Amino acid sequence: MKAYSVLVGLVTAILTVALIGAAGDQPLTAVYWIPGIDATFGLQLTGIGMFVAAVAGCIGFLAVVYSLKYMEDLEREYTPTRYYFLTILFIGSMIALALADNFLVLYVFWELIGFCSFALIAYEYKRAKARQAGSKAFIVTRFGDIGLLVGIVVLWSAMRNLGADQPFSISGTISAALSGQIPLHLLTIAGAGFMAGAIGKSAQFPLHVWLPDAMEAPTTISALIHAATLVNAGIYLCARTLPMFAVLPWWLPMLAWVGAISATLTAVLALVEKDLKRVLAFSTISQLGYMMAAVGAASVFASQFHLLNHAIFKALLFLCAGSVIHATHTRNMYEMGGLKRFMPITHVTFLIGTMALAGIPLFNGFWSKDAVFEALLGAGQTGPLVLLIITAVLTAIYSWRMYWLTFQAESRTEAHPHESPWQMTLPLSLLGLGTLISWLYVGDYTSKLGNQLPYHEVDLLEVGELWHHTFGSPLIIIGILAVAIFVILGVVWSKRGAPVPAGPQMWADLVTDTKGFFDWFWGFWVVLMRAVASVLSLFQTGDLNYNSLWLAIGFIAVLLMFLGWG
Amino acid sequence: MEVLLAIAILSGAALLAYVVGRLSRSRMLTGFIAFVAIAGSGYMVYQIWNVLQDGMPLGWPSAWAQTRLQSYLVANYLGIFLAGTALLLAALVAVYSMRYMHRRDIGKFYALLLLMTSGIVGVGFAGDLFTLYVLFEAMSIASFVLVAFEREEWEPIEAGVKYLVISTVGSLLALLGISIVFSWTGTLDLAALPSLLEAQVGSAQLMAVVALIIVGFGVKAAIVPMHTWLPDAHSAAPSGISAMLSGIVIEAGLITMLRALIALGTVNYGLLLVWLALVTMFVGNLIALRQSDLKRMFAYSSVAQMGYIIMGVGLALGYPTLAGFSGMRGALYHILNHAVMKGGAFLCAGAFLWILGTRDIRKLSGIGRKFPLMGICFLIFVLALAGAPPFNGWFSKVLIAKAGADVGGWGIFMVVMLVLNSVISLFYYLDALNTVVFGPIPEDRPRTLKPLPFLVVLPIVALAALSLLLGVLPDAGLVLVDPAAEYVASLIGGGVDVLVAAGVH
Repeated sequence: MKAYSVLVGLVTAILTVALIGAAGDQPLTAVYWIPGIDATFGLQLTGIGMFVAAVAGCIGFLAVVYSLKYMEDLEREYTPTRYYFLTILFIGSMIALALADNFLVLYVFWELIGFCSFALIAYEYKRAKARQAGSKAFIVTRFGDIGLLVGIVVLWSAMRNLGADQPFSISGTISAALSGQIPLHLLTIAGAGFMAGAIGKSAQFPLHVWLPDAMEAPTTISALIHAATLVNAGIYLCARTLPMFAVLPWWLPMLAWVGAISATLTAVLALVEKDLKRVLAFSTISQLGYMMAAVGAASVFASQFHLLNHAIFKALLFLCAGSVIHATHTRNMYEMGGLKRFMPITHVTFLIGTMALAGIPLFNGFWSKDAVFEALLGAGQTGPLVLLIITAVLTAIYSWRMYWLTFQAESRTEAHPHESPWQMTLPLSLLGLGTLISWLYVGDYTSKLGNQLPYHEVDLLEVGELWHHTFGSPLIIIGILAVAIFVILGVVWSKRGAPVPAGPQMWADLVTDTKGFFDWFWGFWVVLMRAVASVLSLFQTGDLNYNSLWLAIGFIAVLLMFLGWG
Repeated sequence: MEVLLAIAILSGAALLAYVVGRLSRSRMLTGFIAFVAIAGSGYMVYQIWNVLQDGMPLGWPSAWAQTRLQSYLVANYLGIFLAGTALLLAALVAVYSMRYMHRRDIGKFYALLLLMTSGIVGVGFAGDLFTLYVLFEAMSIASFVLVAFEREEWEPIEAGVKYLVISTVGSLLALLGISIVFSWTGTLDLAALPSLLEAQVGSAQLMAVVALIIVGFGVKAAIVPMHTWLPDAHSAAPSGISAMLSGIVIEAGLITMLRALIALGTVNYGLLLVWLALVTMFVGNLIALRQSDLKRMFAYSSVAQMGYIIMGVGLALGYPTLAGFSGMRGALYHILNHAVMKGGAFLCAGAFLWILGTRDIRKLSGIGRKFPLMGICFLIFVLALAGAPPFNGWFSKVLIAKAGADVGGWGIFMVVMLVLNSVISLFYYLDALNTVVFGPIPEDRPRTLKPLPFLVVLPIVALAALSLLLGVLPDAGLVLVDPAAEYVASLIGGGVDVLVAAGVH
């Protein structure tokens, strides 16, 4: 079964990469699915989609390989069949989502990855926390999906009224919207709805509360969710439908602000978090905020390039974290330290990932982050730009802190850490290599990104130009700042020891546990809902007299409503 | 003739099942008779379908007798849809009950089940209000007795009495409405009434009649606040009957109401139904959050699901030209889906009840792990009810939402409310799932539990497979749903040609 999973993963990875080579062809396939509503099951090889699919396929494959060893401990208690079944379904659904040529197919797979994430986060179902986290992820993302579904049916209805043969077709809808055939008020509803769906799925402010809790998942699944599959879906959706909603004057700025606020808020939270995986979770929300903001600056290239780079370095960081947790049996960074001596490969690869996350020049995260800044500057979105620059500084600080607490300074662990086996270090090394060189691919990337996307604007950019562009721009100061922070903090901490607090961190824990008190905000509504439910159930007495009374009230109410309408 | 046979086979077999059950006391034999009768009725419905496909009218008795008797049956696609759904579920419940029921008076059980099914099949084919009412009552009376079937215990008796009283008041209100109509027009023919009542349009009396019909049949359709009997009845009944009640009986009540309302013509009651649907789904979902009894939780969720269905019906009736077809299509498809997923959910709950003798969700903790096949089926039904692809509930919810979007304006607001409700429902569905399937196994539970009989497992697995099939290939259900929706749309003035011209079809 495991060999089968690895084989499927490998074939998938090869095929998704091969798709990139096949760019430029016509729609891959469309079969009749629900003729009754003219819905086809169609896949289309768009530039944005095929890279998202390739990320899902390749990183998914590495995560499966990594799982072989990493999941061994859990196999005694939980059946691995369920794990591999759901993992492959998860990866496959994400690929299908990215390649879908119509909204209905996209919706189905969108919900399917939601279900897979629910089942995988709650994989260790004997722990109540895991079960709760799974349900939370499902409910919160589906809360955002209210908007997506409403948007889809509104567009469907509008397209049907236009007499389109393919009422769900994404490109068809975009072209109808651009030619002004879809009424603006319907487009507004759909735009707000799609944004809500993307905010839920990509864990953006204010629906970011589910992602840190989702760290209850096995680390491989966290890597999948954060890098390869789930959270990318929201960014993909926004980027894909960008030309359609760019018509709305509020849509782009709103997206940029949502992204920027999410990025800043979670970067602050990551500064004081003690759980290694949760720091990474906050950093994911933060980096997704960059991508959101880039879409808000109407830059498909910046958002998607950052998505690609982020997927590589975040998968790397998560798998490294898994390796560390595997060795130390804790997720609390205050109980780690000094691991560089015991785990050389994990150490080096983690350092590479950290630098990419912090935006140190020449690592892949730097290039795409800079592209995001450039895009925002070009679009004149000053507010979000300023927030994101502040976030970049915070990112450098928390990522360096995370690295330092884990690998540098004296060892504070009671376990006897050792390097992980090759099934785990091999994926790490490959991802580390990718983090170093993926930006060199930019020329080919930009030439294929605009594929099959007639309404998106993607400029061709060669490596040389990228180099020139980035280092010639005043925004390079941000990269230099990141380096400076690394040097200064490195010097301070190597003299005074790692930044481990002396006493308990009540406030810090409170703020991070509640994700900046947003758990309380949403918790309030849930409590309110349950309170209303309690009040309502008081009226359900089970007493026949009252039951009959309700019948009478119902009759009178219906009569009154008729009288009211006259 | 076929129409009569579809109903008469079931009623006749009810008699036979009673006699055989009384004499042989064999559950298997009696159940087999019921199954064969249901299959035979299904074959007749298939024949009716074939005749209708050829474009021939079909009814009983002959036209000559119709004018004199004023009571007749007529074949139509709505009836075929209702009969098909009901017979599918009834056949599986008949199989399920062969081993699930363990009482000596099994003959009565199957006789009543068949009688109830014949009533449901009948209300779809009734040609006039009198026949409609009689068959509706046949269904109701059989269901009262079935709810109180385990008469040694107090709970079913209490539930049965409540159900009887409330339902009877409702039926009398409806009967009063029907009598008023008869006093005006001198006929009860569903086809003739709309033109005869045109003179009454907008009159206060007609509104009163419509209110009587909505409230009267609305009791059976579990519209809030007339739903109060439902949670008791659905949770106390034997599980197979719970599945029938939730899966098709309350929907049959709605279709009865729909057929009567269509005949009453053009008072704008669609808006009223939409608002009632909104209240119904909120009340059902919110109270379901508070339930610790698995079958009660499903009962309240049925109230909520009826809210979704009534929303589709209300949009169709309120805006026949905009949403006449799409609203009916969503509502009818949801009836089909609900029969599959809620029927399955109740059968599943029944299986757990059979093993452990409790319906308390906390006491059922982890049972789905002990019986993995049941656990998977339970997961499928629960997710289908929550509207998660690839299980069947999602598609009909999307169709109902489409109807709201077709109406536009506040219709879109209603769609938002509908989808919000399906998120609220996720709270209790996932809670139940996390406890019943993934929860810890209590210490005091015996290590070896009695195994589930094959005939209890089979219908559950069949429904789960159907749930997956209808979710992955929704077109399979549209074959049955679309002609019925077109039929209703043409009756309410959103005729198919109108719809094609408007590009809605």
